[in-house]
Amino acid sequence: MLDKNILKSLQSRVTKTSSVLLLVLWLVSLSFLAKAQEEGYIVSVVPQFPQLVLVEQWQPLLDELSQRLGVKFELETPENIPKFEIDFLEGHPDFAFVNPYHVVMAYESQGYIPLISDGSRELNGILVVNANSDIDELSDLEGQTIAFPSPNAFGASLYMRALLAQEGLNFEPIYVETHSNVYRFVFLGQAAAGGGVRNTLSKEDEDLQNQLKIIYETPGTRPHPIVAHPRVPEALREALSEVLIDLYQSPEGRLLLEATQLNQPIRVSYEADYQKLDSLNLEDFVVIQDF
Amino acid sequence: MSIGAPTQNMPLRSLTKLWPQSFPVQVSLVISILSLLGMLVFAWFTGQQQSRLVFDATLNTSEAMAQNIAVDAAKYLLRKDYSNLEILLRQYGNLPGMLRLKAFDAEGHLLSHVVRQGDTSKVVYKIERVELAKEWQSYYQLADGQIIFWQPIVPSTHLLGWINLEISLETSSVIQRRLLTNTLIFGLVAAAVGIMLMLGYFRRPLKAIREASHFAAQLDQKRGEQLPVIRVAREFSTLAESLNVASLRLLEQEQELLSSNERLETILTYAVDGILTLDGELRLLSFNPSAERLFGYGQDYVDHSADYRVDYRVDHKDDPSEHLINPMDQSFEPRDQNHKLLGRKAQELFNMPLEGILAKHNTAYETSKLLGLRWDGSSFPCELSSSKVDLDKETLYIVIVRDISERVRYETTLKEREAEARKLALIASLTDNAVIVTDPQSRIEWVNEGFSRITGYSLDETIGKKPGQFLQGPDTDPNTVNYIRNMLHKRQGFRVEILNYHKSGRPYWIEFELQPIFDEQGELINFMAIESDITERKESETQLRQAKEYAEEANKAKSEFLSRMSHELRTPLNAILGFAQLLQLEDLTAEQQDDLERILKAGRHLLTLINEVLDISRIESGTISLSMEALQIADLIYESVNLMQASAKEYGVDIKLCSEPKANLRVLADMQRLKQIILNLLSNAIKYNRSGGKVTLHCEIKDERFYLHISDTGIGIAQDKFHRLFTPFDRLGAEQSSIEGSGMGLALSKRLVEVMNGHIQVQSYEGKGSTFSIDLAIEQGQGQQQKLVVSSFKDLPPPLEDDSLFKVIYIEDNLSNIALVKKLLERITQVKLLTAMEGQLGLELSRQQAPDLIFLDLHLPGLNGEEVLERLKQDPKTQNIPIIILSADATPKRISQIKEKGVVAYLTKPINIQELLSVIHEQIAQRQAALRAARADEVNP
Repeated sequence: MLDKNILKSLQSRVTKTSSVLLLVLWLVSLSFLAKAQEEGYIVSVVPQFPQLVLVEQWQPLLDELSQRLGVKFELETPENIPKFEIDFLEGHPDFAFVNPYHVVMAYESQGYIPLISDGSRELNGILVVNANSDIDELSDLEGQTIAFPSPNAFGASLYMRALLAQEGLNFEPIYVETHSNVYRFVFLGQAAAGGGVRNTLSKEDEDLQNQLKIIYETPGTRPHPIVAHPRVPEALREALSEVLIDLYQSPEGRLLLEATQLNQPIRVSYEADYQKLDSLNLEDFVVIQDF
Repeated sequence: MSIGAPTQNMPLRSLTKLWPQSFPVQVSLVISILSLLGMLVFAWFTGQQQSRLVFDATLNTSEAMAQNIAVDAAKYLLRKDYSNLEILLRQYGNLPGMLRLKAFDAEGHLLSHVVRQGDTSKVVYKIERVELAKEWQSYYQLADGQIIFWQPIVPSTHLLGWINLEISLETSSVIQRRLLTNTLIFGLVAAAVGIMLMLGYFRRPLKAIREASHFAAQLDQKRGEQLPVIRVAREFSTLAESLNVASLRLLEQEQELLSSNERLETILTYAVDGILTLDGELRLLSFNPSAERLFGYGQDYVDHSADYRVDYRVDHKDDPSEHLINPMDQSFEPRDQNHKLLGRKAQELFNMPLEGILAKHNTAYETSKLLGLRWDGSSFPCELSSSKVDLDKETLYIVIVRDISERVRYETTLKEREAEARKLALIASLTDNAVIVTDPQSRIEWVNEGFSRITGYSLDETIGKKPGQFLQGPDTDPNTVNYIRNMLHKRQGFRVEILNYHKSGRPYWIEFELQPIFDEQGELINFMAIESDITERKESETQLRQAKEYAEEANKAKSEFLSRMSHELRTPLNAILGFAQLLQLEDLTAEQQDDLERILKAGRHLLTLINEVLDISRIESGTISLSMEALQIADLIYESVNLMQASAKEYGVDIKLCSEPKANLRVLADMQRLKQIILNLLSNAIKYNRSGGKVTLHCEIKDERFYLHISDTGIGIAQDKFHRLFTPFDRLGAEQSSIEGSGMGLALSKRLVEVMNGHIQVQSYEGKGSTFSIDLAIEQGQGQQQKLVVSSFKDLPPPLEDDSLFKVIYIEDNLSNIALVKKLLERITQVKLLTAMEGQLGLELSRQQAPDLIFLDLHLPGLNGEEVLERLKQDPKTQNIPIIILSADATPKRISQIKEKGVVAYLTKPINIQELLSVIHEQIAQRQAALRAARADEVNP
């Protein structure tokens, strides 16, 4: 248990630091004002959930960021992951919430820079089957249909498929756009198994969760980060990171963060956190669809 | 209905009974029932119509909703986007009235299932398959307050699935109920208004019928009253007019019937006097209301207070009102108030037979006075007159009774007052005191003979004068005169003593009491004064006061004499005892020593005597001061016994303590005085004992008091001498014997014990011995323990250690005292004595010489000793010199007073040499200690 005095001195230090920071942020925001007033920054979010759910999750956080930074953020929720991928590969969004392998794709294509991710957990891909089925091992899935959100969804699909291939499993993948659809396909019996991640499964209705069981799990990786296009001024990137970290200090801020799966924001970098995914040789499993 | 009517007609008969008999009520009831029935039928019909419309509207809405959902869901089904399908259903699920939504695929598999729970919708995850209709047509079923609606999803030419809705009809039934309620309320209001309007129209004709009916029913009592004619319809006017004519006719007939008989009855009723009618046998035939009231038979007349002390004896020849007796002796039995008198003998209403009275009245117009008897036994005086009326067959007496209570009461009071006035006049004329009656201006109206005796003025000489003008003289106290004037002005009574003058000029004292007299209106009519001669009392008071003053002066002189004697006797005694003690220190022959011992003994005896005389006089004058404390009696007794052991030995007497006092028992007493008493009693017990005799002490606690009994085995005291035992100087003949004594001891002991709230008693048997007992209060609390210190003599002081002289100044005017102290101090080689015989001289000498010690007498010529002491203490040069007082004044109060001013010691004369030496020794020792300390400082600065 921390001594109360230490806590107090920490608090006062934090307060001083944050007031200096706020001043800097204000000065910085003046310089963004020109662009902000014109069109705003586009934030695109990977469609793990139906669009309506994504709006519910992200809009409050973006409103708070707009208010704090004095620049406008516009949320974009592409209908499915392939569309989302095309968007960032073409460098359309200014900021994006992407899966770990998307980081590699975005970095290599446009030079997107990872800023903030969730430090409270690791990203684990999971393979679920119907709780009432007899499937207990990977080998039971030989030749069966397995649902995935999209080919390049990292934990749920890309990494999972690579690992299943390593296990020597033959199966027929179907792509059902979102994690929610993966779980419903498995529940309705329209697929024998489905690839998802722990985080999205835990957000589903408890009744649905009880109808499913996990039979396989990928090793943990750093979860989804927010990445920024290099054209975004460095000061704004920095300011955004600071504000997200600062939000964690207040209960209201934490609620906003938890809705977007950024439970405990930490700074991340490509080199330290995501470059190693390159070595998993996932490019064989990447599917780029053009619309 | 006949007796044999069939039983099934019974309910009808009871209904007929319930049906109101009054026509207006019947009309109102029929109108109300018909209106209500009409309204109920209308409301039911309208409610049915509206319910059908509401249901149709609900059905149409449901169908439209199902179609909407089907269109929206089609695109999700095409893409198999089940999560968005679920969201869609959840959103529709939140609509009001929606209970359940399901989406099926074309094969009938349940894809999504949303159920309404409270305000929100919830998804149910359940695998289900249903058989679907073959036709791709929407349809509905009704079940249990719900519409179940099926809608196929056919976006183009083939079936994608079905939407199934369950919608609650609760909302529509609520609307139906509300409609029905509203219709009913409206109907009721309309019916009520209709009823009111109809009743309003029928009100007047119905009222006319009701009033005519009432009027006709009471026509015999109407006495010509008229019924107001209500002109609603011709039939009603005719009816009312006919009734009015009938009423008038009836009145005329009634008035004709009134007879002169009734007028007579009225007179009787309102007469003030009671009027009785009696038959020939004197039985009561009638009674008017006044008679009822007089005899207390009325409803609200019960007077218990009146009871008249008058005896009316009609057979007496004189006026009956003259005969006053006490009617309280007369008591009459109370009678029941409801007791019927009519038909009884009228005799029961009076205190004496009526026959004689009525017979007397028969011959002349006379009245008689007698007592009327009320029902409750009380009585009242009345005057009775009567007249006899002879009718055809019978004789009637008419008796008039008049209450004369007020008149009798007035007459009685008047007589009593006259008698009282006669008595008062008699008393006033016979009394020794002067009685004066004046008018409101205090001018004399009347004086009695006593006044003339006291003042010498006759009634004629004083009438019209104010008493103050001729009764007061030069020595009359003007303050008293002013006081009297003031009180007269205020019209208040008072009592004073004042000096007046006789007509001859002789002064005399009177006590004078005056009272104002007011009439009934509160107006002052007279002042009345009574004066008594108090000259003798005044003179004896003056004599008493003078005697008291003389006594007080004598007592003061005695105290002064004693104080002086104390000093004057002690001073020479001081010299005698002092020098004798000094001589004892010299080398003397045995014979000289013997002589010296005699001088000392005689001197001490004299000193004791003086002290005892002084003590007695102090006790008697109340100036003795005692220091009462809770002291341990055991210690005191042991000490006293020890002190007397030597004396006892000398007389060959054995002292024995029979019962020892409790160690912690404390009594309330002055220690020195109690010791003095015990020693005195022990001394007597030893002195007056026989050789080889015994003295026994016995302690006892009785009734919370401590008793000490001291018994001897001596010659005892004769019974006839007991009363002289405690008389000062009376030694009961012992003065003839060789036993020493002053005769003061017992007298002083008795007085001392008594001032300490104790008693002394004696029991004696001649030839066998005496027992003296004292008793004292026991102190119950935890008082401070008193330590008794037995003084011990000290040796002469050691010589001074250093060479310096110890300088002493003695301020004293008595040469023998100076010589004594000088001689004493010569024995201490290093002491140098300087003397001053006046206070002023002593002061100067002290300032000049700065002595080590000052002896100071308080009784000095010029500046007295107390002033010298104060000045010495004020002067910085002398204020630190220790001062010892040597004085003959031995009163404890004086000693403590002087000690407070900062003296080292207060020694009383005659001087106890050992005491004086020990004080000097102490002072020398202190100076030596101071010197040693100073020297030590010099060595080790």
